[in-house]
Amino acid sequence: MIAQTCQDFLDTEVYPIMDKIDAPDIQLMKATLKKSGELGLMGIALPEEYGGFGQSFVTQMLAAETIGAGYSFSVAFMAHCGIGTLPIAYYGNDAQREKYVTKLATGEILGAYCLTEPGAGSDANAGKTNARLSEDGTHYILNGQKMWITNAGFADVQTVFAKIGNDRILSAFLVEKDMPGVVVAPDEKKMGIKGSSTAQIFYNDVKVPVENLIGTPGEGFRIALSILHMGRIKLGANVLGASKKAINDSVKYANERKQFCVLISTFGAIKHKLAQQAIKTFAAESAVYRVSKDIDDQIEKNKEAGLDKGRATIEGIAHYAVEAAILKVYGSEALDFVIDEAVQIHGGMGYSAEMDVERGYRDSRINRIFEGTNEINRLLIADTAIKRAQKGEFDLFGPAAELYNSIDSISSDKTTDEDYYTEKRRYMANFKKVVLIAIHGVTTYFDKKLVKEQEVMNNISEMIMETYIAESLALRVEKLEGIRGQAGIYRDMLDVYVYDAADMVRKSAMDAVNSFASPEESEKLNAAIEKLTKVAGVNVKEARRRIADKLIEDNAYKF
Amino acid sequence: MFPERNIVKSEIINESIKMENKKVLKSGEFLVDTVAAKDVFIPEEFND
Repeated sequence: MIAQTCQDFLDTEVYPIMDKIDAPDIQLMKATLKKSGELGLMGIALPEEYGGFGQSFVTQMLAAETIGAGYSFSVAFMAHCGIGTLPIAYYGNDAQREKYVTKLATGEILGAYCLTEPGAGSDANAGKTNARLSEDGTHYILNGQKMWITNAGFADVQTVFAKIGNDRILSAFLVEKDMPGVVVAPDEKKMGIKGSSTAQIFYNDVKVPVENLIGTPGEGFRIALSILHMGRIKLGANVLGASKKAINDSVKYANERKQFCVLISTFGAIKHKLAQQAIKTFAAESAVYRVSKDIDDQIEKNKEAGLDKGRATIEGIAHYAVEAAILKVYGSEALDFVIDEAVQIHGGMGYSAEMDVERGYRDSRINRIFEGTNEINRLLIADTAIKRAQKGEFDLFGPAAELYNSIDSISSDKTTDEDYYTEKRRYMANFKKVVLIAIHGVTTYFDKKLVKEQEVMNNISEMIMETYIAESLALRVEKLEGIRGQAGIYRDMLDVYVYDAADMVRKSAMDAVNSFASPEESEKLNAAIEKLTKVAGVNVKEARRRIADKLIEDNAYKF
Repeated sequence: MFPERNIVKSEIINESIKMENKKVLKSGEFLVDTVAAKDVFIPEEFND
């Protein structure tokens, strides 16, 4: 299987030299990347006609998850295979694909993606890099500066975003590192992912042939955003792999370390940490593969509508922009939680550079920053959902207004004869009602100024995110029980997750409505939110102990 | 390149994850609609 091939590569070619790679030794990183290319790992997402394996999006995500446990190698590998290759594969013409993608697929050449500038980070379209068409019309003259470029030190081909002439919107160009005027600065010294090359690149009167324009003039911003959707959804898979590695390290250590004459894995406080690590990871995984398959289905629809495979894929991913941002934010924050607890479980040893968790702790932090900061992605969750509804893609505001206007008579809809999953479905439906009530309130009150109320937007995003993850987990556990006939430990995960999620949804909703409502209105809204987020009591201590006991018995994450 | 057996297996995986008559929601539409458990892909289906 592909995942096993990726795991074997990490075990045999990456982990044994991880200290050397992170020394850092950029040439060793380059050589290791090329080795992975020779084995075919770089072609998983690419079409067969360009040397790839044309795998489904679900399979791509499974490979991304496995590689995600590869520390700085994972970052360099994903940058090459994703943002370094896919702009050409998805938006390039046949000649560009033939010239570059076939070699990128095998690692013969390596790629980088150059968007960020000193004055253009989250505000990507603010870049000042300029491309001026030469008088004879044969090439563009590129001038500017890019920074925080992953793989800068060795990438042979760069996708560079720049504005043509006085354009206000970006275009995308293929720039080769050996073109005169391309100057790569020394690598940055970073907190983590030390083995990955990160540097500034300067472009001084670089002559870029006109045939190296990707897509059409002015299409760059769209390409950049589409590629970022793809990058952040794959990051959701990467952090899953990193979380599982940290859990494995945690439980193995807890099963070896003795204090007060007993293994620390027997302590309730440690079991609580192990269980929480597992629950968050399992929940994130549920959402990752739910969306992945939805994307595969959307890609098929796009192909049936006449799009070529590349465009069908990137448009399929962009279609799920809300979910992509959810996976990025939830997954990166779940990993930070998991790795932080991993260090804590290791005690003093967790602070030692001899342990993998120390590297993991430093490497994890970047995930909340790159592929769009979590602040930007949080805003995107609410903003994109609201805007798509405003465009009429689905009716959000009708049901929202209906709920808001019947706030006095709202009930939790609890019935006396509901079974386990009926109850969970009711909880999910009620969480959604809370989201709709809050959206109706804030969009009505703040109207066009809502986008400037970032704290309120964050409240809405938090609710959407928690609801989506909780629902994905509930659907997975229900389906799993249907397949396997029992789901004891998985029910425990769902019970604990929903019990905690109800609190988060309630708090975020109340924060949102209290930001605009009069005292009388606030009282009514808060009472409704209270009803809709009421969930049955759960013995979370025992549920977490059962989850931890399975981890401890397996001595690994095997859910 | 991957050993040939791996390519064949991955093709089987691609086949195994096709779900017929699945209801597919638009991005964000889950807020106003419901999905049945049978219509959701779960990682366990790689093996089951």
